[in-house]
Amino acid sequence: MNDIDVELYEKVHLGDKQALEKIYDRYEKLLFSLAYKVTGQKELAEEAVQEVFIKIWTKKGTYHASKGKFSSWIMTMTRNASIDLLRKRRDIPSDFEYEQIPSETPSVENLVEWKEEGAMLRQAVSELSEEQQKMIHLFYYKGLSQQSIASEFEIPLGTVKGRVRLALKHLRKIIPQKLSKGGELDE
Amino acid sequence: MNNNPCEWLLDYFNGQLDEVPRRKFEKHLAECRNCREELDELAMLTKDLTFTAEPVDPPSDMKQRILGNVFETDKEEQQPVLQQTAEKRKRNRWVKPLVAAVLFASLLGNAYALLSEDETDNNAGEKRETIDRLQTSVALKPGEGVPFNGRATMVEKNDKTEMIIQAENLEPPEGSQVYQVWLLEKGKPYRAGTFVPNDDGLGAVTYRLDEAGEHKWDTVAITLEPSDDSKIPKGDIILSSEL
Repeated sequence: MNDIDVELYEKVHLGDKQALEKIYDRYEKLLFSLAYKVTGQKELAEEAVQEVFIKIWTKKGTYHASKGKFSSWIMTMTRNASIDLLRKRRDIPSDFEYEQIPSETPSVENLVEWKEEGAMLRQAVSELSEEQQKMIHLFYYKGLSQQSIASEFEIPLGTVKGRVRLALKHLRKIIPQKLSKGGELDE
Repeated sequence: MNNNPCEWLLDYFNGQLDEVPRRKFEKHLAECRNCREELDELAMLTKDLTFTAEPVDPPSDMKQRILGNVFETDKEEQQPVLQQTAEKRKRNRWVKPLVAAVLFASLLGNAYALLSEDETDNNAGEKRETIDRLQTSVALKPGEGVPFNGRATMVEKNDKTEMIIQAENLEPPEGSQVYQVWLLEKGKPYRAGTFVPNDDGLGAVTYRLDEAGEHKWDTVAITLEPSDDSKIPKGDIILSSEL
């Protein structure tokens, strides 16, 4: 449950290294997979995960219950760290290659949220039109600027926001209602 | 770039704005309800998307590397922001004060960047309406016969107060000695950051004031302590100021 994360996080705040290691063990694969999806490189993904844990350990990234669930917070932090790293490497020609998202259920350890909801979410995304999938991919996972998205789709800059929102809202409609409440990590 | 900040929302969400437009947008966000709602909506619409990543096995030795590096930052955190490691330069007594002054100025910038970091990358999906405000900045008075200078600056951030201490012309500590910052409440000292200066005698430390709970601090002081675990000040006060 989320409570365990919060408990561990509070211990980390007091300088408990073992608690940080426990959080690391709980989230390693989840964070790495997300960072890899964003950066497309194992080295960068590792760097992003490391930045997240450095921020937690040095208290530069502070979690508070008002920020929502711990798992969402740590994932958002990972996404942002990954996008940031990606942006710093933009001089390397980035590859916008787009892969169709597989919808089969992956088998993943104890992270029930990921295992079950991740599969359903992937299924939902795969039901979007190819263009909307690509919109979400470039906006959310690659963190592209509005200008880059406009160029990529050859659409006017002013229409990007509307298109992104449309794709996201469409996805929301597909996602079963029970997912929108957000899951929690199981033990 | 479009002059209407409402059009910057996506780039703000994706952390694509540079420092100046980002601050401008955050100011705008505090005033524009529509943008706040749209930002909330974006955060809501995307909140589950992080879980759609296909599982990828991390390298087997990643844990060791990452945790090693993370715990290593502990030591670095206690060090001053500026580090001069390479060659021990010949000290030129005439040049040093000038160099120190320039570095001291840049130190302010570094410490500020350090404090701002939390805001810049962690919470792109959340509202960021806070604007850092300088509360107080006081020069620290040197103790008797002490040639050091320092300054304590309080910055309000997210309703919390962070303190930045900088000092210059510090003597290098000997052995396990460290400089210890203390906050005093009616004469009772609380630890508020530990540091050692770099080769140029510059040191800095940041400290979040709420870490010690609710207090009405009346004095900030720096002492030179025999080790980094003094519960109460053992050394003489070298710099201090009333708050």
